Amino acid sequence: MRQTIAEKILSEHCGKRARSGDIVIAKVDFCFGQDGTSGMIIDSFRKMGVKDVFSSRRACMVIDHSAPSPNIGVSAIHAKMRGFGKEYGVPVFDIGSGVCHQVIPEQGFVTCGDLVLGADSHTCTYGALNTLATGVGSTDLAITLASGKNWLKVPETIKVIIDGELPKGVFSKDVVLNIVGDIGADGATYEAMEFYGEVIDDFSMDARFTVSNMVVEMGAKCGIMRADRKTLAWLKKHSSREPKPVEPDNDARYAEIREYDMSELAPQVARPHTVDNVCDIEEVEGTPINEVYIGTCTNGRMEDLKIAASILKGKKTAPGIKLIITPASRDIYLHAMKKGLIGTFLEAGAVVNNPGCGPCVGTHQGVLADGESAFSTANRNFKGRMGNPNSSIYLGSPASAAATALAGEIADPREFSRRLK
Amino acid sequence: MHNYAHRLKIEDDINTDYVISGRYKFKIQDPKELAKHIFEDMEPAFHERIKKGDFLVTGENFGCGSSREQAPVALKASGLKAVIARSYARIFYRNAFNVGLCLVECETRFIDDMDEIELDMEHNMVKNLTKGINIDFKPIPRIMREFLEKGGVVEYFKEKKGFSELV
Repeated sequence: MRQTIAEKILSEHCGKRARSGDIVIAKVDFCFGQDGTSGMIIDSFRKMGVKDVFSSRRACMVIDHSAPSPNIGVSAIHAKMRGFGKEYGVPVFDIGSGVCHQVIPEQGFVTCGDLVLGADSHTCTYGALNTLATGVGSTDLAITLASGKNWLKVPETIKVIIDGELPKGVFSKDVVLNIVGDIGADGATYEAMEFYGEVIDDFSMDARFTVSNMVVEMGAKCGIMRADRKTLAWLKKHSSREPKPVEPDNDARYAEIREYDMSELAPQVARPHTVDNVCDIEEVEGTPINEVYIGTCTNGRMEDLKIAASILKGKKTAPGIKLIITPASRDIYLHAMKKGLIGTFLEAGAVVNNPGCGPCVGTHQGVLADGESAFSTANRNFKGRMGNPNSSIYLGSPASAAATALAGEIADPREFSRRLK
Repeated sequence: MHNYAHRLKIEDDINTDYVISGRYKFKIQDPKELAKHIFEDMEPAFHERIKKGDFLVTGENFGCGSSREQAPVALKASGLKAVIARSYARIFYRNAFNVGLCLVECETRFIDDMDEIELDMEHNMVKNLTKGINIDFKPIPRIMREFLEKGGVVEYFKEKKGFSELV
C-alpha cells in the first residue's frame, strides 16, 4: 500500500485511505491546552455554543507555562482553566504538576498509533511514542474539544536514518541540533519526519523525546519513531491503554531520505537568535555566560538531570553564574530527590524550581538582564524568548550546560568525560 | 482609499515570539491592546505605521515557532488586511484562517516598503500599483476562503453545526 506511518495513522482516523496532499477530517484520540493557550480555547469553545466537550477522558489542561502565577493577568487565566475543568469534568493539572509534554505521556493519556492534537507547538514530542502528535492553535483545539475531530492535511514524510555510535559527552540534544542545523528552520515545513537508525535504537525513551520535541524547529508537523521493546516497556509502566504500534510499508513513498553518521559528532550549540544557527561547541567555547538553565520539555527529564548531576557533583558553579534547574514533572522531581540529585544541585549553587516550563518562555523564574547571555537546554533561542530582547540565548545539551555553569563561560563537556558514563 | 505594504528589516523566519512576545500573551487579553506590541522586540514602533487595510509583506517561513494564536489575533486587530509572504509555518497558517486573518502566498521580492498594494481575491492576484506589476498568489483552499468569509472557523462551525460538512 506504500504508506508512511503518518499516512497510516491518518487513514485509520479518517476512515479512508489517506495519501499525502489529501485533506481529511480525522478523529482525535487526545487533545489538550496549556495556560498560554487555554484562555483562548475556552473563549472559542464557549462561542461555539456546544453543550459539552466530546469526551472528558480524552482531554486535559496543564498549568505549566507561568506557574505559579507571577501576576494578576495570569492568575485570572489559571482561575478560568480551573473553572472550566470543574464545569466539564476535564482534568486540570495544576501548578507544580510539570510541563504538559512530560505530564501527558507520564499520565498514560497517549499510546502508539494515536492522533494527538495539543495547543502547544511542542506537542510533536510524543512522536517518540509512535504517535502522530502535532501542535495547533487555540481555536483549532476548541473545535476538537467540541467535536472530537479536526481537519488535517496529510503530510509528506522525510525519512531520517541516524547511524553510528555517539562519542562520550555527545547526547540526543546534540544529534537533533545537528539535524536542525542541517535541515534549517523551514526545511521540513508541513512534513512529517520518521526517525530510524542505530543511534535512535540505542537511545533511552528520555533521549528519544528530546529528538521528537525539536522537529517543529524545522517546521515539521510531527517526528515519529517506530515502537520497539523500549517504547512498549515505557508505555506499560505509564499507561493502561492498549498500544497499537504502526509500521510504515516497506515500499512507503518518502519525499526525501536523509542519512547521517554521528560517530564523529562534537557537542552542538545553537547560537543566538535562531535554532538552526548551529555549530560545534569549539567555535563558541569561552563565550561568557550569565545564566544556565537546565530543564524544559526538551531536556528536563530524569536522564538529563542525572547527566547534569554527574558533572556538577561536588563542585561549585563559577562566581556570578545563575544556575537554574527545573525538573519537567513532579514525578521526576521526586525521583531526583530520592536519588540525591536535588541535593547535588543545591550544593553546587543551583536554584531548583518547581516543575513547569521555568524561565523558557520568559515570563518568570529567571528573566535575563540587558546584555546578558544564557546557556539553556530548551528548544528555542529567539530574541526575547527568555523575557528580554536585549539578551542572547545559546542552546545545548544538559552536559554542555552543566560544564558551562562550572566554567562561567561556554565549556566543552568532554573535559568531564571521566564523570560521564 | 490607498493601502500600503509594510516590510520588516528581517526578511525570513519571523517567529511568533517576534509577532507578539510571551511577555504580553499572558498579560493582555484585549486584541487591540496586544496589537500595540506586535514586532516590539524587532522594531518597537512598527505598529504605529499600520493604517487600516494595509499589508504586511515578508519572506519565507513567516510565523514559525510557538503555536500562540495571539499572533494572528494581534495582527488582525492591528488593522492589517492581509499578510503577504513567500511561505508560512503550518501552525500559524491554520491559526490565521481560523481567526479570520487572510494570508497570501506569493513572490514578495518585487514589493518594497510603502509600495501601494491592492488585493484581487477574485483573480488570485496582488497588484503592486506603485510598480505597475501584478503578482499571482497561490490559490487559497476553498475551506480557508469560507473561514475568511464567515469571519473565522468558530462562526463557520456554528453555522454548519459541526464538522460533517467541512472539506
